[in-house]
Amino acid sequence: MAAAALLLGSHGVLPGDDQGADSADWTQAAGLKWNPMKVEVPAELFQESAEARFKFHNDSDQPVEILSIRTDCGCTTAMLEERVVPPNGYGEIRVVFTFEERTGLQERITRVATDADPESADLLLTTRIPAPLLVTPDLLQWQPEEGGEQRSVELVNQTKLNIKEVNILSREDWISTRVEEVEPGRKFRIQIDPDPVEDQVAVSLGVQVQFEDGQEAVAPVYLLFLGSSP
Amino acid sequence: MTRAWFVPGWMDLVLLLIPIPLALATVAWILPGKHDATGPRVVSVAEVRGWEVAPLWVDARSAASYERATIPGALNLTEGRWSEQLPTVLSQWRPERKVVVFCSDEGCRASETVAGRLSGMGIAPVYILEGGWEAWQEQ
Repeated sequence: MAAAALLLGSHGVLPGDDQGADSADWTQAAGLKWNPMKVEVPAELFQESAEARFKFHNDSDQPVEILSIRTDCGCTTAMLEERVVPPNGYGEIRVVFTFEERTGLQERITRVATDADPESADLLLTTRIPAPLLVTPDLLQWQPEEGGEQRSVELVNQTKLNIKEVNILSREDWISTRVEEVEPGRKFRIQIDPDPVEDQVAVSLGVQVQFEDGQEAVAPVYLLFLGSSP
Repeated sequence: MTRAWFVPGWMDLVLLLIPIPLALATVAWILPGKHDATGPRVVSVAEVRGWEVAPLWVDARSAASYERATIPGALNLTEGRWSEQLPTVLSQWRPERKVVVFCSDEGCRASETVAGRLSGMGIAPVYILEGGWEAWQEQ
């Protein structure tokens, strides 16, 4: 787990709306009461990050110190206002998950340890990141004897917007490509025509599309040319 | 003329026999080590050390952790920088070479995700290191 950033502020008591919430909504873990411990965050197309807030309450008569907050990925940061929670004090941990290139179902765990309980509390942020484009297959392989055979991949638009333009981003001048529109705005076939290579080489191409509203997306295609030696 | 429902005609026999090869095929499919469709298998550090040929190590931890220390020869591959890092991994992979993916410890799931994605792309065989980097250091 990666150590999370701690932003220390001046609040010991959280002026939130949930302070009077039904005690049944709060879950005991790591010496604190939490509400919630699991958050499902909806993600839209082209969204870059998701945020969840996990509120906690110290219902004991002793202060509780938060010793560590660890996230399961460098893509997630957790922020806390105050390390020490006074008796009857409230606080929250704000978790921000940056998507980068991730798509699909994502579960990010933030583990909180306190001096009140040897067992830590696991806070779960769940989201499903939609992929605007689907390229199949996303890896093409050439055996050594297959030389520079032409291959193709299919690009499917998974959004409601139509694709206006498709470009192939490549730094390889020995690979030529051609885009055919199979279904206008929705489905495309990309022909990949490499020169023969002798040594093993792996490259990626970027399938860049522009949607009708001007937004852009890129999906990678990986090409692996197996050589007689790596 | 009526026929009792339990008296099988030739067509009934054919229909009854169809599930048998299907069941056998399913069992063969899921037997460990027989097919990669079962997804990446978990291996221990000791098991990997016993292999004759060193695997291709893939470090699914963050770039910062990878840069601090990793298994000798390991390549960094994370979901967040997939398109940038994958070509390097592919350039070192051979169809007969085992790939072992690891992350920080038992609680880390990045190795499962990365191993699953590699398998899904047709890279095989792919394994997940039990206990990850922590287990490697302990041994």
